[in-house]
Amino acid sequence: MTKLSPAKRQGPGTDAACTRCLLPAAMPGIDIDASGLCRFCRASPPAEVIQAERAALRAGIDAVIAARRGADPYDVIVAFSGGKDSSYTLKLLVEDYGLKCLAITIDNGFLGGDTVKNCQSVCAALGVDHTLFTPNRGFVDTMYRKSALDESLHSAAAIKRASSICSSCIAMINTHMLKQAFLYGTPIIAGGYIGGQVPKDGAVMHVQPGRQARIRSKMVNRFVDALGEKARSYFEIDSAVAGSSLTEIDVINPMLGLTITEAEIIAEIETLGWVRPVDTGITSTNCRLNDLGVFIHSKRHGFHPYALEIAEQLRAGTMERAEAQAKLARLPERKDVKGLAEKVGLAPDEY
Amino acid sequence: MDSSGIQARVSAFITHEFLVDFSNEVNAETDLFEEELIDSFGFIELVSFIEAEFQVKISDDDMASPDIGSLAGIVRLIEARMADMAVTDDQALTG
Repeated sequence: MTKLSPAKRQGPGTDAACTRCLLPAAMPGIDIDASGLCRFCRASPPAEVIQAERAALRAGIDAVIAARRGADPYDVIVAFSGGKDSSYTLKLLVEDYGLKCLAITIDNGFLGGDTVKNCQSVCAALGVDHTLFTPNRGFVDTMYRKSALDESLHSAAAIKRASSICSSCIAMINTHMLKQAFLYGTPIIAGGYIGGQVPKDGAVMHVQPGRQARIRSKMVNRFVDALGEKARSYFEIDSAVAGSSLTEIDVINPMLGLTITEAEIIAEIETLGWVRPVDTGITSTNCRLNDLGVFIHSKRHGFHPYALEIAEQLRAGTMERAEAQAKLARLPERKDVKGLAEKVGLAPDEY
Repeated sequence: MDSSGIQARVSAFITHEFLVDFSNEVNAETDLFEEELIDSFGFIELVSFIEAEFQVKISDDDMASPDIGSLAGIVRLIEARMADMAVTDDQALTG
């Protein structure tokens, strides 16, 4: 299959940005006008209305939980990275909703020791079962290397949401959660995604494998073409679905329904023993590899891969402008990612 | 709104959101999923856009229809759902 060329992009090389949400002009498709606003800000309602929209999303999440809770042994599988957002999500589901949760963490080989401790502390404090899945290290390193070199593993628009390395990892994690949900007969999966990382309507996503087979099979084929047949075991869900009592799963992202600042999130999870890691690089609270993804993405495309989520938080009033500017300016340097690049097999001239 | 008006709005959304250039190798009949120009998150964004912009409801059957994959098919789907709603409105008025 020939990959079709995307529409013309503005590309790196400009520091211009939306005056309200700081989305950089280098991000394709954002169309900053003469007034200095991007197309999202021109169409965006005031923060109060955004907060009301989030309340509506929360009502949708509540409805799914009310309708599908009560499964045995777990109500919900939580995609638990050990970072701040998934830790808060787990706390919310256990303490506010009283759900029986299974927390699943994927060890991609780049979890810091502090992250592993945070996973253990949070799950122990909440009394939650926790499993750690460690995919074959050779496979994931090859996946990261290929992702860094060839962005055609993902749709052209995926560069707006995340680095190619992160997008591949997220696809693998999402697939693993789906498989486990079908195998356990657990009808709900919860993620800790925030606005900008997934569409806002991703607060509730109804997964029906039969009906969505076409999109999934294209994704599986892309990974198989790039990484070989072994990729099927990480990206296909057919056998798990075939043996399951369930035919559909609801995926919820509770953070999309909340109006909460990062400081408030951290204050809440610190009560569980969560401690801000000091060994996960400068752009993440759970994964050391993020820095490599951010470095390559920002160098290649001219904008920070977190720009979209930061812009969402600015529009919603859950992040201060100075904090947003500091996050966008926090870019790893080549020396920071050299060791990571070597670990995934990137030659010096490949990143 | 006529077909060309609907097509212009959907086309502009797809171009901006998914970086698809309809003046290039892609045309209105191109299957955007088959060509991997829209992924699963993009699918959610597309359906949300259609429902909000045209005030129609896209059913599970619509989402499984081949029509949802191409610009021309999406326009057909929107027109069909708008026609359904017009019938429902007429029935409400006369019923």
